[in-house]
Amino acid sequence: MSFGPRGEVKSRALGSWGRAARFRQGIYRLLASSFLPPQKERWQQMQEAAKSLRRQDKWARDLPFYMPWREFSASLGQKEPLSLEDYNRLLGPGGDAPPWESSYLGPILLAQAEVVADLQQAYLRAGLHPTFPHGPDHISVELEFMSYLCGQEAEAWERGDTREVRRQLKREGKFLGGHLCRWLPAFVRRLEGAAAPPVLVKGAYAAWALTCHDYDLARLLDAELAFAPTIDEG
Amino acid sequence: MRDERMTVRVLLCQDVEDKGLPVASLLSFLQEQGVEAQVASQLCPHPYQIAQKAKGADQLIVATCYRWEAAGELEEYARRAGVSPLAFQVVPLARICEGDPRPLEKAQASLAMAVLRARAFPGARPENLRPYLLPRQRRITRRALFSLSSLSYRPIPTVHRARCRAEDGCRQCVHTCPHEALEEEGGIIQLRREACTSCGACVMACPQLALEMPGWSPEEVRAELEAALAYGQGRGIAFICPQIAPPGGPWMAVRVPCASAVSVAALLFALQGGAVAVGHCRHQCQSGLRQVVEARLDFCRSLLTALGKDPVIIPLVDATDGHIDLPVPPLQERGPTSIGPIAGAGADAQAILSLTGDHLLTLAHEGAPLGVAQVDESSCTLCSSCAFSCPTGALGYEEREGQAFLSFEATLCIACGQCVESCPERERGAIAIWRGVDTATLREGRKTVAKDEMVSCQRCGERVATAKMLSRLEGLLGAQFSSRRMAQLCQDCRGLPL
Repeated sequence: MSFGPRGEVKSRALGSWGRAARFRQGIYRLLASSFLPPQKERWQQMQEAAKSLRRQDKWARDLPFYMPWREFSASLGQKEPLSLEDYNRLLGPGGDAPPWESSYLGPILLAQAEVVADLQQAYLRAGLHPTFPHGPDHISVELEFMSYLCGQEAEAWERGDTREVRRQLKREGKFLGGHLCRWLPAFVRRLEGAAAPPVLVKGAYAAWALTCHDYDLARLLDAELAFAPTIDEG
Repeated sequence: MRDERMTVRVLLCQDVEDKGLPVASLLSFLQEQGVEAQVASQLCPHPYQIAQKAKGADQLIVATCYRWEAAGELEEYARRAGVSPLAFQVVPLARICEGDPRPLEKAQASLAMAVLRARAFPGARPENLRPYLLPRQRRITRRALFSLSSLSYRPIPTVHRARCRAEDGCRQCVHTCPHEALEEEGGIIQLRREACTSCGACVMACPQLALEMPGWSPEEVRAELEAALAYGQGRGIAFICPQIAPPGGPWMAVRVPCASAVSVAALLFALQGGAVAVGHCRHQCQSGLRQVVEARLDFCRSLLTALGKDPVIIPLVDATDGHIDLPVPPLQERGPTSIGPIAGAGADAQAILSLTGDHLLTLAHEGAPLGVAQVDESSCTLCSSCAFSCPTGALGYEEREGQAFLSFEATLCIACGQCVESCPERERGAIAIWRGVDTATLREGRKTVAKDEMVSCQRCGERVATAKMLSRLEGLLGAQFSSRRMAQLCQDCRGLPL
């Protein structure tokens, strides 16, 4: 095995892409839940989910979103990570850090409507007909949608269906590039500026780090799979 | 962004002792530098120790025997310990000290360079990292496809919106990028991440330092260069990209993202210490900016020759299999202990002025990073377009005491030509750019290059335009414009009785 100047060639396999997709599905779901109004029962479920995900996250420990994810999962362990009062102050209507994508697009209503329409199209194209108590551009809905796409990707990897994997990767890349990657940085800055509780700041930061990484990864894997027809059987 | 309490840790492979580098001396030198230093036995053959020993470090420097080419593998272990890929450096001590007359001194200098570079780390954001898959060396099996190859990471620039002057028409980064990775849309610069090769050309070209690429920021490169000059004891300075192995012998390697990211200021500061070489990775290099680097080197040579000096500038050195062969440079006097900025508006001028001292010098050169805006006062109408489009503020426009002033500050001019492009009177020769260095103009500071009376609205007293502008319009439109109403009333008062 030879190494390039930045060590481009390494032999250690980290695990299967399918397992990675399942893990990402879990993190996205957990992150989606963390921006919903706090409920004691849900927090307990989230803490359990975080514990379970931490047991499986060894494969990701050298990826850049690992530390933000770990810090977020640690912040979930607090007794009362988020009060309803804080939630309303920050994420409620008229709050300091609105969790809706359309809030970060400026005052032009048409641009806001276009984003909402684009999101609804994306959900429909993926075969979903969701109802939105918080609106289709709420951070929880967008993260939950990413969780769904990762689940679809994981299933395709498990079936060995590279064509379907590529389709899902394209969807993920398009959705991340068109939505989450665009507005999460501004959302994180708002939360930081509003002295939000750690669970929200670390959750938003982890979501930012994960979406940035996934956006590039989806494109990379798609390009890699484009060579699939020339693969040796064996 | 930068954290003053940042923990810089150095892991030192004990085996360097066998290569003639006393570990105890290196350790005490590092302690003097105020960093955490640890010695690890057999670190090079067993790099997995890094994953344990790097825990808690914000910045990690691994001092190995020879292993520079395995930086990616070592970085992976560092990442496991929570160290960002951008906060990690490898210094192959035994390799770089080969052929040097005083190896311990060079080893200490190289470690000091890495430490100062680490301390200059500006902090990173998630967008600054881009993963890439390792290139396939051979045909792959289906089983291999379905398993995770290791990922490695490259820094990628982001645009600091508050500093960016794209809204005013600046396109320096867009024009500099050889990969068309930067686009301007509605006054906002967008980066196409997939097209970017992290060559850093845009980062160094931006006069506002609005492009941020942690790991390769101008401040980090400057810190490393400054340390090379201060600790290098007159050794030559070799600018190399990550594709090239750090050279041995009496050369200090300053790492840059690409040869094209070596500015004239960096070259001139480096020349104050001694010889200078720039490595070009040739086949691996995708930036295609060879001519630009050669022109810069030639400009530095011409400038120093004009000053009666005999610079030791090695012509651009092509790498073979990631290695460059450099001649033994003459060891010179110790270089300066502090240098100015190496990027941003005014950096090149500062370097040139510090080198030329009191000499008066005029040098026209295609590779010059500076220029002089030559304004023809008889054709200029003081419309101010040039001043508003100037990305560095070299041209300025001001109205005071009933007069309009156009001023020019030569140290800020980067000869981008934006002013000429925006000038509505360019065909009449109202403004031209002369590319070169004129030290007298550089020392003059800001000076007025054109001025004119302002004509005020006869009704409300609001300023309408300069007298030259009105006279030009009258010349263009003839009798149609000569009515007093058009020329002597402001927009709001037109149509109202005088």
